Amino acid sequence: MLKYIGKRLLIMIPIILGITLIVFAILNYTPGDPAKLLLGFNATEESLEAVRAEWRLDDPFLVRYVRYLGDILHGDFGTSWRYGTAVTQELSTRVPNTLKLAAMSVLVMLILGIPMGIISAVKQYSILDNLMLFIALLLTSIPTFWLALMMMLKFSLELGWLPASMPATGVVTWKHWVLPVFMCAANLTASLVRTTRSNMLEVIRSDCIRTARAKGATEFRVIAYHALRNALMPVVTLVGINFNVLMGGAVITEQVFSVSGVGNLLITSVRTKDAPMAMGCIIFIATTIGLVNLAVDVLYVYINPRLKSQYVKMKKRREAKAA
Amino acid sequence: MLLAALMAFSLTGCGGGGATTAGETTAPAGTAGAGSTEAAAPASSGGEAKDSLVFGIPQEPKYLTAGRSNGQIPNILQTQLYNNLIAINSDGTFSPELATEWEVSADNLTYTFKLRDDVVFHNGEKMTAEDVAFSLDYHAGKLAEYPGGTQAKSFLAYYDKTEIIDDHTIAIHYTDVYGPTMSCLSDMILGILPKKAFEAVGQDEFENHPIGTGPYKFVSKEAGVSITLESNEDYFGGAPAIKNVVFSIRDDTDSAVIALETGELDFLTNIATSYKSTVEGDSNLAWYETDSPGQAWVMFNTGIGTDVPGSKYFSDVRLRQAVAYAVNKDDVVIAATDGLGKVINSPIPDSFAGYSQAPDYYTRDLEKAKALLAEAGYPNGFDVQVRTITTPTYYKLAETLIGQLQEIGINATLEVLETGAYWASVMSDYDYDIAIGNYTATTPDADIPLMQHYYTGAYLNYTNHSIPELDQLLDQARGETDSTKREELYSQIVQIILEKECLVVPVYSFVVTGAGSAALKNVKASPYVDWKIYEWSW
Amino acid sequence: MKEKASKNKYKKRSQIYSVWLRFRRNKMAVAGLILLCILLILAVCAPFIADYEQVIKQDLTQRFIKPGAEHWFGTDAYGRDMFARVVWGARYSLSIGIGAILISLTIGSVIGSIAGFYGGKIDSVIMRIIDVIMAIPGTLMAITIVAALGAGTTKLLIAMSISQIPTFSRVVRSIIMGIREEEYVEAARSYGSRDRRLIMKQIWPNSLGPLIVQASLSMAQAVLTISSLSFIGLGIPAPTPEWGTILSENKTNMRLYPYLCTIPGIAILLSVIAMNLIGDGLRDALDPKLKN
Repeated sequence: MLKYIGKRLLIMIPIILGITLIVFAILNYTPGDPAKLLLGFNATEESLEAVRAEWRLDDPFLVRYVRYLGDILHGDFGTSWRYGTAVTQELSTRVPNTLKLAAMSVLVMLILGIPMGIISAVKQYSILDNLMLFIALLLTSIPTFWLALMMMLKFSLELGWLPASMPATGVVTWKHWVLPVFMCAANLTASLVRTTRSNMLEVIRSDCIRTARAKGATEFRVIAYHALRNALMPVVTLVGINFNVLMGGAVITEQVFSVSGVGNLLITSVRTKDAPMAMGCIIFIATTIGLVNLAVDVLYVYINPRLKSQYVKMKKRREAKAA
Repeated sequence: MLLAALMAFSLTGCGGGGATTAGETTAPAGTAGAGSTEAAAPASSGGEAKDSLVFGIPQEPKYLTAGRSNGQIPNILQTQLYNNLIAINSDGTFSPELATEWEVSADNLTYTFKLRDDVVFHNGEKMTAEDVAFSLDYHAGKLAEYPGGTQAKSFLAYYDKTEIIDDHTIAIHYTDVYGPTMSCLSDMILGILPKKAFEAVGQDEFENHPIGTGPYKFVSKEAGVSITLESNEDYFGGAPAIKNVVFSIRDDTDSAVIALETGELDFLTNIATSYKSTVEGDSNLAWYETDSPGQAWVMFNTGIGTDVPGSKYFSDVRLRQAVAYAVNKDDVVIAATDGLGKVINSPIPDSFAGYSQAPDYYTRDLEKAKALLAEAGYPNGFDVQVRTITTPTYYKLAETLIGQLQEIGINATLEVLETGAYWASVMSDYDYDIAIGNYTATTPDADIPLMQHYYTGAYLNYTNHSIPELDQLLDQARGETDSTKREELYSQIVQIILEKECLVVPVYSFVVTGAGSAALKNVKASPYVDWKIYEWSW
Repeated sequence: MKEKASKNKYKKRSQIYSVWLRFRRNKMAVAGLILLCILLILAVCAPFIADYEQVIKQDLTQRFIKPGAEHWFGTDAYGRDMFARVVWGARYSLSIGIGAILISLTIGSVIGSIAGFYGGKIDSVIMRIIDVIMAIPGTLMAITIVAALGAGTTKLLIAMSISQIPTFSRVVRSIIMGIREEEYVEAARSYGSRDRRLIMKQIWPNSLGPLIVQASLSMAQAVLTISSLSFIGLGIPAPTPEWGTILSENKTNMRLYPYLCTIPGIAILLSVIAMNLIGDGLRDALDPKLKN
């Protein structure tokens, strides 16, 4: 298993490198003069030149890129063009919020999505099933920023139950997180409901469940023990695959609810042409996605030992075929 | 010639960027009668004593060091952190701040200030003439390390050098006579910085821990989120009643208003005028507004007499005039300020020295506009992009303008740029056709807005022009001390800018707005958005 | 060989027909199709329903009129007719969504089929690049590209297309990988059929089904992403009546005049629901396993 994890981590490196190259290239062609950004528009030509020389902004693109990579290897993600502070310093205050938002969204997604999917499958074609499917359809199709606006109006303003944005000072309570987490999780909860439902349906009809039923196990036991275990496997991968979508949604969510996270910082940086900061944010997001995917895959193999033997069998078969 | 006034110190009289009278503010519906004596009273009666304030600001000021950022939001922070030598009163006279008295030489070239000797910086060091000399040199770009100076540079026209007479006396020498010198020195952008602390760490590091003499000290900053200040208990004007102030950056006005209503914010500045009825309908909130010298105008890339070619279309004065005839200023005032702003016909705010009423050179006339278009060779109009940024004072004018241009056959669309790219395009690259300009001058003198925008090579020469005749008149006007002659010169200048060359179309002046908890006392809107939090109390 | 090809064609046609039969039985999917058709008709016929002039013509004496007989959807802060704006909004939002998907579908399938068909080194190079792009969330990719290009209709279209290409490449590649080994392809190959022809004639028809499913689901996502980008100010600038832009323009007045935001929001919701329903219906119809 360790070997597998190590191998996967190695695969991640070229992917992250590729991302840095693509994003570096795109931001490189973003209009705006970093020297002017740093010094403001009343800067003299000499001071602009001085900054360009200091930051070596006039070097060719590839030279700057390689230098950037070298700095990253030393743990230096550069200095923000807008704030003049180290990117890592800025990121470190933002990362916890983004991770919290993502983790809570995944949790909410699982807590809401899986039971809804199970109910839907167990009571297939019932009113409940149709209701669940309808809710799922609404949640996948609704523009979440619009939903957020509507929820803000209702829950923050009209009912006064939940705050509309993060507090500037003081403690962030669970109440502050309700709306952002809901907005972030809404779309993916829906897809979880649908996947859980279809997997459950498939498993319920499978032979092993029929056998369990025939053996006289209670319906609850059949569902909870036999069916669920088999149906949840693909759900795990779904969370992994969709984590990428979730992070994309988190960026918009942070913007709408002024959450001080990496996504919010990214949009500000992109708008103010703060390339080193934007790079830092994207590298962080991509790395997180990569690690979560790896964790999910490891978990998947771990909870499903059959997969491992299957993998071996397939390999043998292929070898035999080749021979 | 002794201009000095030894004024009795009062808590409200000294410090900040100039006191405003009640006449300029509309009394908020919710506030109790705001007597200034109440300011000194400890905490509000009834309930627990609250001594903190969460203040919503729509954007993050780029710099906190005095002079490095100019604009409404930086002004708010600078008001809290720094002091000037003197403050300007609403009647145009001056009152003491860091300086107690002053004298102007007979040739109007030397200004001598006597400084208070009880002022300490936030780090505990005493403020002396050394600091004043250093600050002025720094702002003016006379320091070798920072040759660019700060944005306060243009407020130090003809500045030559300072002469330290003793620890608490300083003479400022100018190379030429400049009418609004005193007004400029009172502008909040010219804050006094601590020489020792600044030189010890340098500009970049100082920016991370700015130090001034003002009523509030810098505590911490979280980029894009908040700036925290605490009261300066040793403030020479007396310690402020509100001890902790957090500036919360709320780029989304609408959720900021909800936050205000739910009590997450105690005060919100620059709140959209469309929320006036919402705020006034809420008994827990109070609405503040006052006229602002801030103006918005439509501007063209003219390319008159410069190396960079102007717009393909608007290099032709006839097309600029066609746009001027097409603009419906009344409609813009409704759309952009919900009718609270005012239509303007001059690039000089009407409360400024040097202002005289200008005629509306281009009263709306669609037929004339179409005739000019045809004359310039575009009888069927053309496609053009109006450049703007998302800030409402720009955006709403731009959006209204494109609708009005449509009526004379110019097919205009919006081109919304991010601020950095926008300033580059209107200040150095000149690759735009038509755009929106905005300016809030904080020194009430015609020279400031006009020199900054219309002089050849000026820092804010958005319209890409160089007109020698205009330069000559501007030079003449700034040195003229006779106010009638000055007004005459400025009306000639305005005529060139508007009627002859049609560089810009002045459209409306906006209002300063703010809304806060009705329990806050002594809140006053001032034309320069310099909310004086140290005067406030719960 | 000719005989075989025509037989295949016949087989395909009947297969499409049976998919259609299955699709038709799914009431929700048919409802989605009808809904989308209505929206598309509105989008196409927008110029006949309301003049574009009405969309941008301001009348500051007519601000904030509530929905009624004269203005079905009311008027906005500039006195513009909301009905005209929302109808024209369908034209912009849907055409950019559909356009982006068509572009990325075309480019993505070409890339995917090259990778899938040739395999080996070409495949691994292409797939690594795709892995990289897919590791960045589509929304982020679009935001970054918009930052470089600037906001605007065409630029948004480009950004959206690029961020969707990898999805389609993957779908096509996996389909091709799957059927590459199948007998009729191998047979055709052994007859010396040229590669390009092989891809076009044999493999394409097979991948059409899954591609259409993917396209309709991606389209739904694209419409959502476009509107959210416009909403946060990185998409289409005003006065172009894209739905997200309309929402962002009216957000400030939403509290006093809620119809300004509910109507465009519902418009987005309906079109995305329609696309999702069609996608689901098609998937079920193409996959007989799920039919029960």
